Order: sequence, then C-alpha cells, then structure tokens
Amino acid sequence: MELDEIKNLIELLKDTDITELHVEREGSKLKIKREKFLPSFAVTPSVERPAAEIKGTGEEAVEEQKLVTITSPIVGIFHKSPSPEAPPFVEAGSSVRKGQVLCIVEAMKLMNEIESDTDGIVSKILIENGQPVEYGEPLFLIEPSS
Amino acid sequence: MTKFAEKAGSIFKGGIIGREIIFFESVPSTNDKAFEIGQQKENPEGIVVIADSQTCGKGRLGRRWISPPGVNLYFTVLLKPPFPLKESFILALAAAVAATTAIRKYTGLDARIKWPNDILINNRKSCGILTEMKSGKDRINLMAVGIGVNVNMLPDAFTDDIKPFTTSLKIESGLSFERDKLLREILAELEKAYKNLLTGNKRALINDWLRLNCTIGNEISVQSRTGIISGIAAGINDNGELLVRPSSGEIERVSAGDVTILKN
Repeated sequence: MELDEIKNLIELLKDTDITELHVEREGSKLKIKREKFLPSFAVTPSVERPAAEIKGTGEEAVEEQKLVTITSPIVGIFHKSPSPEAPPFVEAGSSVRKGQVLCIVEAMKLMNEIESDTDGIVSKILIENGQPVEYGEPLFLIEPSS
Repeated sequence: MTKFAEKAGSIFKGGIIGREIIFFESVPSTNDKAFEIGQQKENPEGIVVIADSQTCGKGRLGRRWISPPGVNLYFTVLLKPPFPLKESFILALAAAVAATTAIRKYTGLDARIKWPNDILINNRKSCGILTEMKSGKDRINLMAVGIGVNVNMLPDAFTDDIKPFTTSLKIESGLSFERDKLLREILAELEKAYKNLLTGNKRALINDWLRLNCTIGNEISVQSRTGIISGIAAGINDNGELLVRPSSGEIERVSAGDVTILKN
C-alpha cells in the first residue's frame, strides 16, 4: 500500500465519527484506530493528577495553560484558615489579588503564609484542610484575570 | 515599663539582632506590629519589637497568649535569612535553643525544649515561640520570630483551663527576675545561633536542640487537625520533623501538632 494512499484514508476519516478502519488487500493489512474526540470541557485537575502532568486533547491543554498553579514551598501541614474557628482565607470562586494570602503551610510551628502569584479567581483548592503537603506539591489552581 | 524600656534599649552591642529596638506600652500582638514596621523598612533584619503587654497575644492557630503588663517578656525579632525556603524551619528551632540556653544561664532552672519549640520547666510551659513568615516563590521575604516568656507572672494570672500546664520563672524558683537582663541573654544567644546558621552550620544547631530537648526518647502523643498519633518520639529528621514510632507499624513523620509527653 502506498504512503499517499494511507494519507488519503486518514484524511478521509478526519471529518467522520469513525474510530476504527481495517483494510485488507493481497499481501497487506492496514488498521487505523483513533480515540473518539471528546467534547471540550473545563479542566479541574485533581490532587492525584497535578496540572503539569495532565496530557489531554488540544482544548484541554489550552484551558490548562490558563490556570496558574500555586505550589507549596515547604513540607508541612496545609491550613485553609488562620485558626480552626476562623473563615478560610479563600474558597473556590474567590477573587484574589497578587500577594493576597491563600493559606498557611505550617512546619515546626513556623507559619508560612502562601500568597497568590497573580490576580484572578481561585479555580480549585487541591488539598483538604489539615493535610500534610510535600515540597512542590500543588495547592491551588488560579485562573488569572486577563 | 519606662525603666525596663530604658534598660533594654541599651542592649545592642553591635551585630545583627537588636540593632533597632522599638518599645510599646501595649500592642495587639508584637508579631503583627513587627510585620507592620518591617514592611515599611528597607532593611528590617534584626529589628526587635517589644511590648509591656499585648491585647491579642497569639499562639499557634489563633490561640491566645496571656500577656499582662509589668511581669513578662513579649517580643518579636525580624529576620530575613538568605536560606532556601525549605530550610526556614531551622529558625524556629534556633529560637528555642536561644531562649532555653538564656533561661538556664540566667535563672539556673532546668528549662527544656518540647518539640518543636515550647520551653518547659518541670513539664510546664514557661515560654512559647511563634514564628510567622512571608515568602516569595523561592525566598524568605520576612520572618517574625515571636517569643513570650512568663517571667514574674503569678499563678492567679493564668486562666483555669491552662493553669495545670503553664508556669513562670518566678513560680518555679520563688525569685523575681529582671526582664531586661533575660532579654539581653536571649538576644545574645539568638545572635550567636543565627550567625552560626549563616555560616552554614545547621548540624551544630540541631545538636544543641537535641541536647536541650525533653521530647526524644519519651512516650508521647501528637494531636493534629486530622487525629492523634501515639508512640515513642524516636528523633527528628533533617527537616526538623518529629519521628514517632507507634507500638505497631512504621515510623510516622510529624511536621505540625501539639505534643503531650505521656511518660519520661
């Protein structure tokens, strides 16, 4: 089977819903398979899949690039509020300014205030209150204001 | 306070810590006041903010630090250490080593460190340290090391809920102490520890902490926001985390929580 012929077949499938095609001829077999193209959706990566590791369709990648990931600079415990009784510094959907405190990461009774790198909206909080975090672990996804 | 302020104002003898000492009769919290002052200064490193009383003295996670006038020490040292962020915890341990060493020298009392930096005498807390930090992506912008010492406080000044767990230097010794002298000792010890750390000597500091602590080797429990871990305090690692060996299972790392010493 000629290369041009294969290219044509691939081209032919592009605008269809066909996900698999088998062609058999004397002496040659061709199988073309592809994942069905999913409709685009807003990406909110979970803790298990940090933003930087997610590989997806083109639309996902674009959405992902828009979000700023705030990571933990130290090993410690994540506190979403200054004290157990106090309201959280921010919640999903909160509007934040660059330099605004998002949370505290505590280690050895050293309270490290983590600030936002950007103006924007908190898209997702990736850590539960009181949970341990490691160095470099993603804490927040922020959608920067354009 | 005026006399105390005058005496303590002459503490600085050259160096980093205490090159500017700022007194207040009363502030909500010396840490908050120090941050407020530090953010307006081009070089805040070494500034010490002292208050005779605090109206909202604070401990870990918004807890209250009882701060009546005329009897105790409440002060905050501002630092801007050029350390990587993940090394910043060492200052919380250094403050404990400095305050413990100073209390031992000046009073002769057997002060000991409970992980990470409470200072106990006869298993009761006499000094608390709260370190707060504002950081950029990869460096420390400003650190406030807040130290409160119960110096001449009497039992009646403690609230009932904390009375069994707290003490003062006077309660333990029967003697009154001069606050400015103790302050001078603590700042001198902190200067020594800090200068040592600036030369990269982290190991010496951890060894001092281990020598002065009353946690390692004892049966303890740690209360955190997510639960209680009980076992033997086996040591601390290079991150300053407490290693707890439960009666069964693997050693657990603890980076934050309230330690209770059950048996020593």
